[in-house]
Amino acid sequence: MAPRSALLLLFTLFLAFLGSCSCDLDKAIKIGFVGSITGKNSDLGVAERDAVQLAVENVNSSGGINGRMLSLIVRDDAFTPERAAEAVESLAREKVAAIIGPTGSSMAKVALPVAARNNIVLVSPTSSTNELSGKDDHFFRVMEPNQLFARHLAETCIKLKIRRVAAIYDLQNRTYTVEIFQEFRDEFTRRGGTIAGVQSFDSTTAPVFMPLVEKLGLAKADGVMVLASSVDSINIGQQIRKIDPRIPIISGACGIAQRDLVQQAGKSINNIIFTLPVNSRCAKPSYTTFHDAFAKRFNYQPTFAAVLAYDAAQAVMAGLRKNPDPQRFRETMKGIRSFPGLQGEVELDPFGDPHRNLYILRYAEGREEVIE
Amino acid sequence: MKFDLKRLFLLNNLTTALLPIICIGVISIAAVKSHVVADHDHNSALLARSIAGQITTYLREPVGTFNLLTNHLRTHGYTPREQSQLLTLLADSYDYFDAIYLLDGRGTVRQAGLKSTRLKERGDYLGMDFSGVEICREARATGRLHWAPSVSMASGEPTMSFCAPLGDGAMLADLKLSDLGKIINESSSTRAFTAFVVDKGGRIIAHPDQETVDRKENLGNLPLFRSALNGTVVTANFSLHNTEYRGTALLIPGLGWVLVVAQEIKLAMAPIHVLQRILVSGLLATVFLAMVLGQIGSRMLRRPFDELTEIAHRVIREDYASVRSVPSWCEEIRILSDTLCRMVDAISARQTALNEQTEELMATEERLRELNALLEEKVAERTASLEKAGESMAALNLDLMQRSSALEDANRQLEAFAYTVSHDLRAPLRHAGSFAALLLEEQGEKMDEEGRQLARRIVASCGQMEQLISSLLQFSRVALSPVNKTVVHPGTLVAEVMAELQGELEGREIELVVGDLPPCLADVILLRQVWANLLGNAVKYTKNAPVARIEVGAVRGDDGTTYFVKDNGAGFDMAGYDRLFGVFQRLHSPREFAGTGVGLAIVANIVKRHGGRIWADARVGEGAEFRFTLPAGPDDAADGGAAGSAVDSDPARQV
Repeated sequence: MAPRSALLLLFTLFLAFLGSCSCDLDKAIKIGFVGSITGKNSDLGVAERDAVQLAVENVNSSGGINGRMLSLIVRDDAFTPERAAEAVESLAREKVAAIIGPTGSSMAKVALPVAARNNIVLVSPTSSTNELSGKDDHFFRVMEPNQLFARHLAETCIKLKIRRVAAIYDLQNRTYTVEIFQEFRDEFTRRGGTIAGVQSFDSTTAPVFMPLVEKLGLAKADGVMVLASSVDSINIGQQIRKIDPRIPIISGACGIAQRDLVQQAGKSINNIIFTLPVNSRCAKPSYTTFHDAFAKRFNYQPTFAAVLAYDAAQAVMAGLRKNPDPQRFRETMKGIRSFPGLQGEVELDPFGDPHRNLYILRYAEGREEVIE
Repeated sequence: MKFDLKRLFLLNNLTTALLPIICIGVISIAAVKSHVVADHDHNSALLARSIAGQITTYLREPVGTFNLLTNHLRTHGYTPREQSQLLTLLADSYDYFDAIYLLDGRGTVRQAGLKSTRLKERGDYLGMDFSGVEICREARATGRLHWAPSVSMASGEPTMSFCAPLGDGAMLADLKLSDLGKIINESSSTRAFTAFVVDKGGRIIAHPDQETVDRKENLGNLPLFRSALNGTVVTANFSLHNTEYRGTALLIPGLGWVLVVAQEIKLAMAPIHVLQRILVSGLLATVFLAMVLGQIGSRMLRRPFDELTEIAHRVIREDYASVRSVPSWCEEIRILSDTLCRMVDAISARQTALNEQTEELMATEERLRELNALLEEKVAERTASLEKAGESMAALNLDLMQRSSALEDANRQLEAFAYTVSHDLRAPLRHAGSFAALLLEEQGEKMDEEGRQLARRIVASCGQMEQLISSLLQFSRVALSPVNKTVVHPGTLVAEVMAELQGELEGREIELVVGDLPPCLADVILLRQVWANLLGNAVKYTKNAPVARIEVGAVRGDDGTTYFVKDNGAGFDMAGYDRLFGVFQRLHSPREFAGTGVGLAIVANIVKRHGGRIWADARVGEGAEFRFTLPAGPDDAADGGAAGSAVDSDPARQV
């Protein structure tokens, strides 16, 4: 009996020793976030990260998922595909159940093979490339593919009687920009419109925009399409307004998150037109509650990217509630046909692409307005 | 729970060794923790104030430069070209400026000062519309410098924008915040603290790690930040990026930013963890040593104890011859062993003596057993004869009871018969007497003297006969009347009787002495008869005394009260005492003292029926004393007696 007592004592001491260590025995479900938190597209990435963080805080404060807390691990891809791939690899090592992101299409395209290799699902808030549509893969998203946006933009131009469009786009996120432009061009010309001029640039080489804008031939155009980051879009917009204070600017930047950027845009922001998958005037209680909580928590108004990221987080949580097994999470997500989004039920097709309404937003006199 | 030596040794060693270590360890950890936390808090607060001072100083320079430039431009009439050169020179010379813009009254950029590496972008900035920038509007409206966090149009990085009014326009400068991070890094890295600056919206604007700033993280929900924003210097624990920190936050004066200086709790509490590890290692080593020493000690102790146990087993088997002393290094065990050996010797000797005594005792026991058997036989015989005697006694008792019952029945029948006879004889006797008196009165003259004499004798005999019958009837009535006991005060009865006898006392000198007569339980009518007869006798038998003395009194006893009536009259010869209480028995001649000889028989009957007894003592010519006992009444009944009634008037006292 004496050895047994001694063993018991030793075991107790061992437990005490373990207790003295700050061992991480956390049973939380890890989910990852990859986004362009830094760089010229950081307005999207930061808003998405903040929204996902709010979603995680909300679900944790209401008891977690099936009693387990969520732990969010954030990685920045700095709007570069290589960093996005590294970020996904890093999150795979952290054994996350799923990844919300990336922000941009080029990043998503590169990150997907890495995620697939590690059997991790990507649920992107704002990646809209057509290349990832209609495929039975590890990629899910809550924003419509580029094709739809481009067609919608073309249709909008026709409706607004913009028949000649000049375009300028960033080659840095070509998966998005080039794809949108080509889809737009095809649809626009099919509907009778013409492309007045095209310019492209690489945002990583500190471009000078005035000469590019001058080469667009604005005098022969009814509108200008700008497919670039928020910062560059505003800079380009300023150059355009120097030449033509009134010409409509059709933006693919999907909105401007940072209020200080809007300030810097000055009057040039007037008559900028966006096509968004989110209605910023939505009055649904789920959206207004989110809107107020987000503004209170982060001290700025939630952008469309924040709304989409929150929806992406809801999609992941719906999957985790159904089955938290990370090995079968892709199948679990494929089984989710719809989930409650902030602005209504979001339906997903078998390939993980959503069907949402699109809204046309225009800045006029410093204020947003939904024109459709 | 049972303990063996091994366990006791282990327990003793562990208790002796571990308790002081644990106590000292816990106290030390608590003391060190308190000291470490206080030291950490003091250092972090000190560092926070120092860095806040450095930030203020750092910002003073660009702000001063900016103000200087504004004043310079305000006071010197430079051409646009000169202005442009001046701004470019300034942006190039001072690294902290990202860009400097000169705005006209409409908010349009008229001059832009960029670093020489970015000069090609200058064309983009000229003509830009910054009319929407809030601080420019505020600066122009208030006429003084305004600043706010912003974003670089070139890089998208966070910047701090300053704007001061200049003429009808304004001057705007973007200040790079990355240098703030460097300042913080230089101040805090050597002291293992992390410091960062948070703007009033909760966004990190300066951090040693520029990427953290670029990530635009928002700490607006940190309680530490919120408290500091209110102007309080706060030191508390907080969680950031899944890491626990302890730090101090304070509001940087004049900027509205919050500076947070923190250290990972794991790092801050490292001395405590080291102490904990030392304590745990010490505990484990102590446990190991205690177990080893316990094992050795218990083995050394158990060997002699085992041998002593073997000796004890031999003693149990009465194998005293093979018992030997146990050698041991331990003095106590050696003494114990020697004592045990001596004890075994003593036990052996006593065993021998005991065996002898046992044999004697067994022989004695055998003899006793035989005597017992004999005794039991005799007892059985005696018991049998006693049982027979008891049976015959019981038969005699039963017979006696039957006879007593028969006698009582016969007595009652006789009394009833006497009553009937005396009652029925009375009427004819009265007729005979009346007729003889009538004969004498009406025919007396016709009768001769002898006839008249005979007639008179008839009348006299009839009167005597009637008196006898009356007495007999009275006796019968007394014998047959029921006894209704109540509390009676004999003093009252004596007074009443003496009043009735007053006629007989006339002309006589009588000394009546009445003592204390306690109350008793009795039938008042019957008891009154007792006193009447006894006092009547006393008056009657003292008629020849020159001075009659009658004394009435009582003596309390355990079984009741003894009342007495004593006189100095004729007395009687005690030789006739047996007849004294018989019916119609007289010890004096009728000529001497009239009477029927029933009075004392009545008295005796009444006393007997009350459960008492009566007796007398007398001498001829010297008087007689009659005593009788009655059950005592309640003491407080004496008061009722004094009130003049023989019977207690209070119903509650009646029995």
